[in-house]
Amino acid sequence: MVMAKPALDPAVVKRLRQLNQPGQPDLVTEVLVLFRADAPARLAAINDAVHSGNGPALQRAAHALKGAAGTIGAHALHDLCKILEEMGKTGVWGGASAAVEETHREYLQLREEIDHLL
Amino acid sequence: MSDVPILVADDDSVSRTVVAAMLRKAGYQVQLASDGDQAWAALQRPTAPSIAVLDWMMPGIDGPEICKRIRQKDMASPTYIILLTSRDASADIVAGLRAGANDYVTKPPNEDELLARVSVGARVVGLQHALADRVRRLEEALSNVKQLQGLLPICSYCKRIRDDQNYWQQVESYITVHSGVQFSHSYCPDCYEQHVKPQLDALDREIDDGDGQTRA
Repeated sequence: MVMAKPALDPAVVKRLRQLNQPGQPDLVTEVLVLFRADAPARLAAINDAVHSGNGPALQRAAHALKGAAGTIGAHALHDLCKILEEMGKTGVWGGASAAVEETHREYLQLREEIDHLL
Repeated sequence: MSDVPILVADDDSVSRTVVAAMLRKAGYQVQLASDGDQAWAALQRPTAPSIAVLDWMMPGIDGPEICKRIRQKDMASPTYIILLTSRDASADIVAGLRAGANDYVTKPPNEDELLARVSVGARVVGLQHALADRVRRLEEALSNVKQLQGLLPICSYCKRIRDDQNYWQQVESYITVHSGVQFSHSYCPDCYEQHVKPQLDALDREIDDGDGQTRA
């Protein structure tokens, strides 16, 4: 059986953990908790923007989720958000719904891995 | 290095937290802002950090707009600004640098690159502070020189000079206070004849008289 590629890059998590300082809360925990708290609202905003055909709103919401995903090492989610951001920017919507679905699937896998870590 | 305060402004809490952790680990004092308005307010304070790491896209005032506003202000030591931008947004980078940013770092930031760029900023800020300090001291010196170039009220008889507080001072004490000059007291040949010689002669006479008295 071929293992699916992890949604969360362990190398990035390791690098984040190296930023920990004695006496301070664990940075990985802090950052993943923040991500898990913010992501649903951003996914919802992406959904709404695609359904209402609001390009600038899609660009903003996808950009925000992209930044956070890139920071924690969620590369696949980052790349999907980048595609959505570009769609919002250019107004070329071909495949937007499929991209949103793919984004949600990717987020669910990521969420599982985050829950496992926390 | 550790006493250099840095403002980190990003509306994304994940990115803000990680950037702050990278800087804190390197020993910097970090202040946080979660949008452009907060960042702008922090940069207005008298104790504003000299280095700011600003997200390009923020609610409120965005990164480039903050750059423009900072550059319009007349500051002795202008804020060193590093913009955080997307990796592939070269148009954004050009616009950011044109707006007055000193440098940029792409998101998600690489720790080594961020710290290298921030340390360049710290060096520039250090040079600016040293330069501003030097200018201030030169201006002080210049204002002293100017005081000596002005019109000095001097007494026609005793030659004392009236200072700004309406006190009459001896010429030498006035000049010592208002310049770097120090006086070493001596006498000229004319004054030797007029003042010193008569005093010496009088002293000689006193000694002679005194001798006469002991002899008597």
